Formats: sequence, structure tokens, C-alpha cells
Amino acid sequence: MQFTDIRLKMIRLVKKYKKILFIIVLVWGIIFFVNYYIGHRKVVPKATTTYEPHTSIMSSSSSTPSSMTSEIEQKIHNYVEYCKVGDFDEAYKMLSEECREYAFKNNVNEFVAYIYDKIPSESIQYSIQSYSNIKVGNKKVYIYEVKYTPDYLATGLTNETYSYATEKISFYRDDDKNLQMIAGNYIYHNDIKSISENEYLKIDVVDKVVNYSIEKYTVKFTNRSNNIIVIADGAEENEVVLSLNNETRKRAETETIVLEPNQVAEYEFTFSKFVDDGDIANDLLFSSIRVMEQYSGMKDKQGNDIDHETIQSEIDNAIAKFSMQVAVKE
Amino acid sequence: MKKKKSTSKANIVLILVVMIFVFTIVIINHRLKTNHQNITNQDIQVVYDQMHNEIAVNQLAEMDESSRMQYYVSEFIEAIENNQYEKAYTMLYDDFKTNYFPSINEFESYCKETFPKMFSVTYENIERNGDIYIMWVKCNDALSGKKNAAVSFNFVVKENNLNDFVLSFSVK
Repeated sequence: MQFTDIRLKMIRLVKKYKKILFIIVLVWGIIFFVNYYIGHRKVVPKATTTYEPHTSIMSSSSSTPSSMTSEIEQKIHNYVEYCKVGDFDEAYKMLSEECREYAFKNNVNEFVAYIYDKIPSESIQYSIQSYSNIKVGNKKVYIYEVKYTPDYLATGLTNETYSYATEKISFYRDDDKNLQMIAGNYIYHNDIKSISENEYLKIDVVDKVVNYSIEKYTVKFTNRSNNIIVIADGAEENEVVLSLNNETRKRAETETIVLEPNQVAEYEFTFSKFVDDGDIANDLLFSSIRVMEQYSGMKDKQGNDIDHETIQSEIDNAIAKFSMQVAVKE
Repeated sequence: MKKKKSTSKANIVLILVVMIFVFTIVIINHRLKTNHQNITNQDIQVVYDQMHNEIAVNQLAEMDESSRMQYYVSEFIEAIENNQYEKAYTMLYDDFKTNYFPSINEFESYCKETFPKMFSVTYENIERNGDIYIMWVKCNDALSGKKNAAVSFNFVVKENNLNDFVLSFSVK
């Protein structure tokens, strides 16, 4: 067989099976390309880290939506940078109106006094960590913990001990979809306006301010009687408590609350309660209200303790003894 | 006539295939020759460093954060033990160098005064602060064997990427 015959046979073969041959060549080409791609693909190993700044540490299944994360990072960055260079006005302006009013009483100096402890110099470094996400009304609030430290990388902790300051900075979208920032551990405020009253006393819970770890209630008392009314003076146990679903919390203050005849007075009551603990504040409970015939107080004019018998005798002779409960559930 | 035309086409294709084959052989031969010519020690060192870095990166990718930080500190300590002060110096964070060791000579004399010639290291604690890691490290004088000869240091490490880091330590 001559070379020409072989060639002719091959040409005939190619012509006859050109479709099959085309598919074979195409498949071979694809396999060749994929093999080449996998062989030459550079897989860059990545460092594994447990640091996930936008995943809540209180509930690892809860994260900040990715559409908000970069805006939050930018806001915290700007806030810290303003504070670092002492431009406190600009940092203060970044906070929501409500935060400025209830956390800092609309006073930038209060804000400066608060933040200066945490960010005293330009070299302060910070890191962020999503702490928890809660619902307040129809808004979702994303709570972050911001940790402030000296620039340890620049000092290596030379002649220092490891320490840091923190604050909770939270974010939510307002009705206009603007991202609002709240700082100073403040979370929200609620005008409760809940009242309980009887012939002797009217108790009006005006509002409550919720911080990350405390709830502060403003309560207005109206003494409707011509006698002294004792709300709390330490003579009885648990005179003022916040009633939660599963437990009660004592107030943080220790001051006595004694109303003169027909007096109207406002007091603040602070209770420790974490906003993300899952429990609900139901009532403010005033469990030992006494309308006194005679009241000597707990100390005499010289500051000496009044003896127990006198106190007990005055309580026993009280015109009325009762408890009152004011609903504060939202 | 038609048959003649298709035969000449096949001839052209065959000639082209042979030319491509010869051309490929020539190129491969040329590359093999040039690859082995003019290779200096510096080139070998660069390749060696690249390979070493690649191996380290692959190893580090398998490690958790704590182990990686220990690796970085041990790299620094190893460099000091081997008197590779320049290598150790490049690992230091720039602001830290400015604050405590503006020149490599100061760093070298500090290391010679402070660190034992051979020492073992105990990693006592680690804290993460964002992307910064703070470590509590005890350096024991391996030669003297004295327990009270141990010196405690804080190391602060920032990992930019795998095997790409800067660090600082508490100056005694």
C-alpha cells in the first residue's frame, strides 16, 4: 500500500466520521482545558480565624445583615477617629437625637466627660464585636461592643499591664431607613405613662431609659393625704423591686423616699437588667407603703440610729399599710 | 480533478503539523537550555526562600490562631538564638522599632544582654483583641536550668496574612 492510498483512506475516514471526530476533539479539548486550569490554578491558603466581628457572641446564629456591616464599620471608625483627635462635637453629632437627649441630656460636655475616659489619646486602638441583636418595637437594634486599648503593638506592653475600656454602640434603621447610631451604652427610651392610685397615693411611672445593663425608671409620687407617706426607708425588706417574669430585682439606690403631706415628688429607680437577657420587666412593685400617724425617720437629728422598738411601734400604728404595683410591661 | 484538490489540501495540513511539531521541539529545547544557564546563588536562595515560605504558608493554613501566633513568636526567638538579628529586626512593628530600637545595633545589643544564648519558651496565655494577639510568654534559660532564671515577656502579634506578620514585645 502506497503512502497516497493511506492518505486517501484517512481523508475518506475523516469525511465519513467528521461529526463524531468533531465531538471527540471537542470533548478532548474541554478535558485538556479543565485539567490545565486545575493544574495551574493558584489556591491561596487563607488564615482561619474565630474573629467574626458581625456575628453576635450572645447568639452565634444571629448576624448583622451584610448590607449594614460596612456602614456600621465606617460609622464606628469615624466616631472613634473624631474622638481620638478631640473633635467631640462631630462625634456627638453622629449620635441619634434620642441618644443625645437621654444618654447625655443634650449636653456635649456630658458626652466629652463620658468618652474622654475611654479615648484619652490619639494612639488608642479599637476593635468591634457584635454582641447581640434585639427587637425594640418594630425596630431591630444591633448592639456592638467596642473595645478601646492603648496601641499595644507600638509598645509591646512595655511597663504596662493589659487593660481596656469598652462601650456598647448600637445601630438601627429609622423609619426613613437611615442608620442611626447610639452610644454610651444607651439602648432606648420609652414613655411608659402607667399609673396606679388609691385614696392616699398616686404613682405615675413617667418613663424608662434602657441602657445595656440597667433600666432606669422615673416615677412621680403624689401624696393625697395629710400624713407622711413612707415609700422606702430601709425599715422593711424589698420595699421597691422590679418584677420580671422569673424573678425580682432590687433597686440600686439606697436613698429614703418619704413624702410630706400632699407633696408631689419625682424619683429615679435603677435596676440591673441586661437588655438581651430574654427576660421581661412586668411591674414596679412598692411593697411596704406606710401612711404614718407619726414618723421619726431612721436617724435622729444628730445622725444616730433610731431604736428598733420606736420604728416598729410607729409602723404598727400606721394609718394604713399597703403595697402598690404599677405595670411597666411594654 | 476534485480528488487531486483534496489530496493537495491534505498535504498542506500534514506539512503544517510537521512544522508545528518541529517548532515546539525547538522552543522546549531553548527553554531547557536557558533555564539552566546563568543561575546564581542568589537565584537559588530566592527559589529556596519562596519554597520555604510556601511550605510555611501551607502548614500555617492548617493551624488554629493560637498555634499560628506561637509559630510567629518562635520564628522571632529562633532568629535571635541563631544571631540573625537583622531577620528578627524585620519582624518588629515599625512604631515599636521607632519607640525602643531605632537602629538594629541597639536591638542587637539589647538581645545579647537580655536573652539567654539558648532558651526554651512556655506560652502561658493568649488574648485576642480584634486582629491583634497578646501573648504571655515565659523564656527559660535552657543552659542554666535555673527555674528563677525564667523571664516573662508579653508579645503582641498582628497577622497580615499567613506567614506575614509584625510583632512587638515588652522591653525589660
